[in-house]
Amino acid sequence: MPLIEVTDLHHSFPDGWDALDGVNFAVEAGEYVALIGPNGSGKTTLAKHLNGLLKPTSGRVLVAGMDTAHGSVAALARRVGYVFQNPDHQIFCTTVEEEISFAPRAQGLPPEIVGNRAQEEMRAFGLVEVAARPPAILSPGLRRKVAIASVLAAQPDLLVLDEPSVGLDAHEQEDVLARVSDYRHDGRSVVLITHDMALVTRWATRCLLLSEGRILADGTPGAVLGDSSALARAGMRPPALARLAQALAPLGMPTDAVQVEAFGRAYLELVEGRS
Amino acid sequence: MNFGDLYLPGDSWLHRADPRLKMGLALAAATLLLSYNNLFIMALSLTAVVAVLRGAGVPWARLRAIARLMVPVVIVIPLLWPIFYQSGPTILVVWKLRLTAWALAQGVTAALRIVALGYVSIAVLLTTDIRALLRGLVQVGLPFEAALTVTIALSYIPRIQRTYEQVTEAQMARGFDVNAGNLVVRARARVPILVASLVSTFRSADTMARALECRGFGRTDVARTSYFRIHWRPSDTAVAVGAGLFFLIALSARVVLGFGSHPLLLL
Repeated sequence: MPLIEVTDLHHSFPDGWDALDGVNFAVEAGEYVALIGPNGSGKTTLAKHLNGLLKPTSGRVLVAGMDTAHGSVAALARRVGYVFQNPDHQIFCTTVEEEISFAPRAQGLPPEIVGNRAQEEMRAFGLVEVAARPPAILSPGLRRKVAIASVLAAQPDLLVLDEPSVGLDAHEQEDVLARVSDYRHDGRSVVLITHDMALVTRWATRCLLLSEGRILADGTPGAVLGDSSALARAGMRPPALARLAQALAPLGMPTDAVQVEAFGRAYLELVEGRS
Repeated sequence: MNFGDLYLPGDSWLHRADPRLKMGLALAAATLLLSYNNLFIMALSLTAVVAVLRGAGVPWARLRAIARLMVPVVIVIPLLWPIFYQSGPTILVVWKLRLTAWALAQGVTAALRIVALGYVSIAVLLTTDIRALLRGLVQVGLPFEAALTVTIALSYIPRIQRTYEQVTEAQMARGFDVNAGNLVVRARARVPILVASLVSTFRSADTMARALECRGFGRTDVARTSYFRIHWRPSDTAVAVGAGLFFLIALSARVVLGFGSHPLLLL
């Protein structure tokens, strides 16, 4: 059974805007799915259906078999962790350690396990030195790490990240997303909402392209980002490497080689083949 | 409930009217609403205010959302009124409390007055672009800094509301059930939401203060110019004269003739 199953999902807001218009997809355990699309394409609206913050106007969303239309957000929060765009909306405790301990403690776990999880996440995110400091006064990058760590400490089956790289430098991005990727290897899944195509090619195993509330493309990041007609319909340009691969396509370059390493390998094969 | 932005763009006569006229009309309407005590006149006044707002293109959903904010006060006032007002024919006696027809009418009148005052106060904001409001306040004599402070504060109302909603969603996503349990439990569940909302609001207020400073706000060594201007049109004069006459007649009728002072009788 897939972890997430979305069937013919429609969502209309009270002002009449149809944000989602018949979305179908499923997420299996262990997948790292990137949701991409222009602003207003329905990415965040779709993600908010995964933890019941929004209820379908019609259609169905199942999380581990549970219909989100009938489950409370609090009940779904045990299954689905959601990291919001703005970390300030999540943070409220007086110390970093308390903040990260909050969710496992709220789940009623024994103090020993709560402490272990907090320590584990603080170590993973480099927050041990600021454990006793109020998270609200930390730098934007550290506040984002605290927000992600505090959700990971609850160990949900699905982690939804909405633009997690904002405010992080290249090093911090690598650290944070590597931790998220490790988390997925424990049989859990990740949904990443982003405008940063480099993150998609670097980390995602699958990519969904949304436009005007519909899925225009669903496949590997290489296949989706190499599909210039689908991207054009969404009003997007392929990333630089995808455009380069397309330019070299007449010479035999595969157009889905949009990741640096894959592109390098394909290019070397192409050059060796021609020489 | 979602206010979105307070201002609703449109092209009604109320939208086109000069902001100074709208502020004057709101002040006059509020004065009349506060001076009359009659249930029928108050019901008529509320109907008129709603009609004006509907005519200006304000949707029912927005009017309902504003009314919903006033529900607790609107419920409590008619309930409390019989304690302080005992005149008139008795309708019901419960323990030592006597409910009279006049007290009931007075309570309902007060509730209707609050809703009407709420609509009148917000009518200016619903139909006036923030730049026009700022110019209007400056034109009526408010110093620019004070006028800007007022308009920024007003623009922060929907922003704070949006922040509160987003924080509520974020905390619910962490497992908070904000609607579970008794009143005390629910109030306690709101604490993290309030803390995070306040921190977020203070942070954006600080950012805005710095942005204003960076744009030269508060400089006294140069004369301030304004790109955006408001214009008083002949139609504004016509409305001002008509409304002024109505205001004088209505106020005189109330003060001199005592018209509309009784909760149920007109004279």
